[in-house]
Amino acid sequence: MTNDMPEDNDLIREFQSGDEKSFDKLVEKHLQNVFGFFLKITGDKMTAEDLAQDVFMKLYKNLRNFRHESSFSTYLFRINTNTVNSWITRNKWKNILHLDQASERGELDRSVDKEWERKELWDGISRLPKKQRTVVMLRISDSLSYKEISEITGISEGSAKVNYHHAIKRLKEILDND
Amino acid sequence: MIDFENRIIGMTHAESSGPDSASFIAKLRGRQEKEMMRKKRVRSGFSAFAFIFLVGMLTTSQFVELPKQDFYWSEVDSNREYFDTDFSIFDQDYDTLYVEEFTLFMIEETDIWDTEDLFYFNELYENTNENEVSL
Repeated sequence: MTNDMPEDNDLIREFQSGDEKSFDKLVEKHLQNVFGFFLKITGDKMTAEDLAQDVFMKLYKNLRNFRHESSFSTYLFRINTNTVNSWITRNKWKNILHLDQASERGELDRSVDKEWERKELWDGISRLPKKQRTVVMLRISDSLSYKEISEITGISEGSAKVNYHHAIKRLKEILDND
Repeated sequence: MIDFENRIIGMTHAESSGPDSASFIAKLRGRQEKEMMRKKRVRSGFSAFAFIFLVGMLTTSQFVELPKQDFYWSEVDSNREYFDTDFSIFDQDYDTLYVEEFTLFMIEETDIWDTEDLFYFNELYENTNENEVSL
């Protein structure tokens, strides 16, 4: 939320009044954050870029209706989490297949080990209920505070804490069992 | 618990430079254009379908059962009507009246020469008929 400068709102207003260049400036400004968020989750540059493209496409379609009631970064995070949630749902089976392939490669290579661990983690996260999953994602990939998470997800701060606690407990169980 | 949290945060750690913003925006523009084209195609397809549907509906609404008298003669079972026609019921002055009216119409609406031609041919016709009668 720290990057929520009034400039964002100015750019949005300019875009809403028909200036397409303002949208490009907005993309330039937030690209690294959005890309970084997806890279941490997917671990793949290409996928992260594709998802970032999806986010900015959604933003382009809906930004004209943005009413400045919430901050732009909250709005953007909401789009990010929705996009990644649909990606996780879409790729549940794919992830399982990738895990199988990774086990065949052996465990000698450290980078393969790391990749294996990462995939296990995201497979575990994908198995969590949507609310818990969203809270965990925001917390571990962007280190957001519970207050910020509650603003993005629309749940109370207490509920965000409880969801996070349950999610971490469940993840520990999943990863230890695997 | 905190150790586990740190562990998973470490797992998600990824260092990589982001994509070049100019090429990213160019790609985004390309996707937007594609999306717009797709929308246009869907919209025109839908309007074409709506037009065809409307025309179809209007056409089918015109299909009513034809009344019997509009049938072709060939479709009439009996040919009795051909032979039972009473020609005396027709008005004998009808043709003359028709020619007079038609002449007036010709004078009002068309070239005078056409009307003159009409008179000439009409007289010629009548004379021919009279001659024929006198013969």
